[in-house]
Amino acid sequence: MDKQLVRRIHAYDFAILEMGLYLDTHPGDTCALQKRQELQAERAALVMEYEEKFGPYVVTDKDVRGDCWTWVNNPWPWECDWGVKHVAV
Amino acid sequence: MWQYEKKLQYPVKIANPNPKIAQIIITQYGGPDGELSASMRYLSQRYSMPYGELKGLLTDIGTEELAHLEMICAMVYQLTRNLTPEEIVKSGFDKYFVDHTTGVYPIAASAVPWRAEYIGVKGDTITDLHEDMAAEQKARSTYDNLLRLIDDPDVRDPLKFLREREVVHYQRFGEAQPTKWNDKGGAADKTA
Repeated sequence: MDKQLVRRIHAYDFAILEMGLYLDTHPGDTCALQKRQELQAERAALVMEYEEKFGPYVVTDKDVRGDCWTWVNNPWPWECDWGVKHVAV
Repeated sequence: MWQYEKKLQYPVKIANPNPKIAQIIITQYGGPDGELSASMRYLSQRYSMPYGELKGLLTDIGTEELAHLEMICAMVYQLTRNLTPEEIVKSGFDKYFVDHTTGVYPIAASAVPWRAEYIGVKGDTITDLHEDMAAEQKARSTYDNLLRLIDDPDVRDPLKFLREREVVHYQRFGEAQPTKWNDKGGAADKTA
């Protein structure tokens, strides 16, 4: 597990969400749109780096792979920290 | 419709249970100016908005408020772990505990359960956007009050994040005033 890498990906999640809110009121801002796309590309690279080392980066039920419905696994987010199982409590 | 990501928007990791402050933090779940009010207000107002930009903004902020109420509930959950009967009585948490045990129920600090009267959905664009700006300030003020009353840094950290989000949301609602949209409903603001 890699706490730092996970937290970096979470930071990108937030930055991408925040850019989305700005774009809702400035949809013509091509600079902001491009920035968001750059953030998504950078995030994708980190997710790929994570998945190469640690396996699937499970985020939604659509990401569950393999033969086991791991979606129901503990912990759930309110039980610790970010709630991501790869992050040590 | 909604997808769920199995993470909190911002970490909540509280080392020391404290049922006394749980009773005031819960107000940002079920209280008048809390995150449940915010999410229901914006997700309800979006249907009657005339422009896509406004439907997008209200959907996106309304969804983020659901993520915030999840953080508040996580805080209450962590603050009420492993309590002894003596701690429950001494903190005054016994009044809540008797009806809800350590379940997380949408209630204000005053013990009034959440009600739809806390939100306004007037169906008028200008009115609703002004309601939203006021709501964000009321939420920010409530976080100010929580920060005045709480010393634990584990608790203050997510509260400060949530307070900052109210300020940002206020900015976005201010920018959403409809006079800037052109007649075709698209964005008139094309500045970089």
